Amino acid sequence: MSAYSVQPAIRPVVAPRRHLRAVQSPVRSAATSRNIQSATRNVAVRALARKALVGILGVWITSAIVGSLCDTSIYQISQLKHESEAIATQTQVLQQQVDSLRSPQNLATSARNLGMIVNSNPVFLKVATAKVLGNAVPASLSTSTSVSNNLIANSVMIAKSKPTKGSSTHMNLPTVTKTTSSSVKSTNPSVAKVVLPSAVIPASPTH
Amino acid sequence: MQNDDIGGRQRKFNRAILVVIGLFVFMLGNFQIVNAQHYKDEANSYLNKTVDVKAIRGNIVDSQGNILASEVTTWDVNIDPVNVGPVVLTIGNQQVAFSKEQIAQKLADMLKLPLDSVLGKMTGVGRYANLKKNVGASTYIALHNLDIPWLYFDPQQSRLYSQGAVAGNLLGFVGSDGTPLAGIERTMNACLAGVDGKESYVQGADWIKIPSSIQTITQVKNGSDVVLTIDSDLQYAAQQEVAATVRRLKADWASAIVIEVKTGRILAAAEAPSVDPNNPGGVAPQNRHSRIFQAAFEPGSILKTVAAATAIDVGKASPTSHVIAPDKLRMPWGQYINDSEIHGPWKLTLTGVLVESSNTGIVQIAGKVDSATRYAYMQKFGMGSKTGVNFEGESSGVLTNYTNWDRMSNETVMFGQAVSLTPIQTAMIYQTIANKGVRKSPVLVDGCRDKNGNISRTSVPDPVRVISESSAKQTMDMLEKVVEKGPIGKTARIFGYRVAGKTGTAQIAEGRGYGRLHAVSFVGIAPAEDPKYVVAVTAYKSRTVSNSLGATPGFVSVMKQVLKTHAIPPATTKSTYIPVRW
Repeated sequence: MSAYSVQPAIRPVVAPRRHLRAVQSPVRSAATSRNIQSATRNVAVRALARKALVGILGVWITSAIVGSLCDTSIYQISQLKHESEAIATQTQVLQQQVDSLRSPQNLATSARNLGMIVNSNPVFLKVATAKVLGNAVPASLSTSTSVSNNLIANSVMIAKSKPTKGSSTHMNLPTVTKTTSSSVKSTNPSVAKVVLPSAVIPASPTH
Repeated sequence: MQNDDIGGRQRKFNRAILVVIGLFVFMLGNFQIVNAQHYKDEANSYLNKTVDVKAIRGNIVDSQGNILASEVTTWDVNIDPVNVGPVVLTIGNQQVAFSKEQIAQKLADMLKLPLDSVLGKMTGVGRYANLKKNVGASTYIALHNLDIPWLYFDPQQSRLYSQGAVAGNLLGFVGSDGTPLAGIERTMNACLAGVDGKESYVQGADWIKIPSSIQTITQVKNGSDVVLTIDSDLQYAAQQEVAATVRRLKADWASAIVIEVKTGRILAAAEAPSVDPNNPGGVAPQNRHSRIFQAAFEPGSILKTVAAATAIDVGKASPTSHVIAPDKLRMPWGQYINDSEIHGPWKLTLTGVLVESSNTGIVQIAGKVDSATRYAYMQKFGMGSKTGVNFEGESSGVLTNYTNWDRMSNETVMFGQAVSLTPIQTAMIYQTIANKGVRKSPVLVDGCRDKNGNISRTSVPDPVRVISESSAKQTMDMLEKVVEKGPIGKTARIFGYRVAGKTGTAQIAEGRGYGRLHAVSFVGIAPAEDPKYVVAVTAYKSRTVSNSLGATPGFVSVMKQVLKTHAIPPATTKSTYIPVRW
């Protein structure tokens, strides 16, 4: 057995480091006490000020955002109102044009321009007996008792019917040719095909 | 030592903060409590606006719902003279500069104003010069699109009569400030006019109205619509006829009335000259109103029908009562009553008296009725009192009490002298006879219709029984003979229909006597077998035709139009035989 002995390592004993701190003296001066209270208050005021600042900032930013949105809406509403008024004005113009065109003065004049004569005779067809009641004669300028030319003033007529292109005071009626039965062919009658330009329904000539 | 400095600065800072906060609190208190009202008022004066909200006047519509009068927006065109200068306008894609003289010429053309007038208003140092009032929408749009910076527009409410002079004399018109001045506009103003409202709002710095700030102080109440009994198509046709009649006869004026017999509704009340209410200044002042309701004159022979009906109703005569009618009848006090033509003694029945329109015949037969009774019947027929139609300025006509009639007036009232009637009173006499002896009040206004379509009907006086049904029937039969056999009455025939009627050629009082010109008229009823319509045509001071031949063409034309409009088929029966002579 070997004998040797191991010296246990001896660690130097270090005295624990003492933390020095000021110990309040049980008897404080009045000035010191005031300073302490003041410092505490300052901390509280600062905290309050921070909160108030954040709050005010928040309210201001929110208000700015809401205000901005409101302003945008107000200008939008104002713009729309102007547009609405412009449309109402346009509608008024169009309505007056319609009123002018449908006024009896315009209708009488345009009917006259188309060669129409008022047939003043009341004539009725009795369906049950196929009998004509009344004086069924065509109207003519010499026999019509009604006034065809417009004599009634209308100072607010802003539109008048224009005669359609090619129209005249006399209607061009097709000539009827008497045919014998032998000349009648059993083919389909030729029907004029109506072709609309650009496939668009023609608008009324009035405007 | 250093700590003390920091604490001291901190304290000073805190105190300053407190002072500032205190200042804020003080100012806040001053703003919000002490001088709150003052600042509020001051702010309100800048930002708050209180404005009147104009009530929209109601429409006037005919019986078919056609609008005859409505409210539209027009614009006053104004100039800001101090800022007048050259203008750059966009034409196509190009910017073109125009001198102020060129712009003045453009404005003069568009507004139909003299150039000098426009230039005059463009010069000056003021901020306002009105160029033209009440410009229409199309002109406004054209002007607005020019984008002239010193031209601005004030919108106004204006009245528009889209059919012009159709029913113009009935509708009346309003002044430039919207005040109703005549006709239905005036009579029915309580219905048409609304009640203006008031609202306040806050406006932004650029005069933008803040929508959420609008507060209604007084609610605006728009006017209601007036619904007329008039059929505007029929009205137009009747106006055409009376306008043609005035031209043909060179008359002062003419009128045509269409009455629905059973209801008294006026379907047309046409006059010429007629006023276009859009431009009342376009006709003479005397033509701006309705003579149908306002002009009373002696109607002449039209009233023989009343004398005959009275005599029948009191049992003093029948349609076949005999009389010898000379052309000149000497009265016991020495004065003469004459017929309109020279003739030998006619042996006439009462029907013949009406057919020939003999003055000497009617005074002999109807003269059997005492004056008091005759006067009472004339009153019951509506003479001397308003019809109840409630038209502004309606005349009662003139019917002097019988106790004040002199000996001649006692006779002449039987053929329409010494008594004055309006055209509507005359028409309603024939409505009475056609309506089996019951007189209705004429109705021109159906009612006042609110925006929900509820109509408050016009109150109409109760009908009055004037003569018995039998007397009315006998009178109708006699009037039918006037059209069948009368020398002038024949010209009022309508092929296929049974028509009853009476001519009237009235002398017109001038000074203490009668003038040279006449009021010629014809009042007819159709179909006679089941009376539905009365048409009364009058021409005043006819210069080319001095008897009812001047009125019958107009009657025929208007009555034909009425029969067509209401699809009245021709007659299938014949009139009752009554001898005209004996």
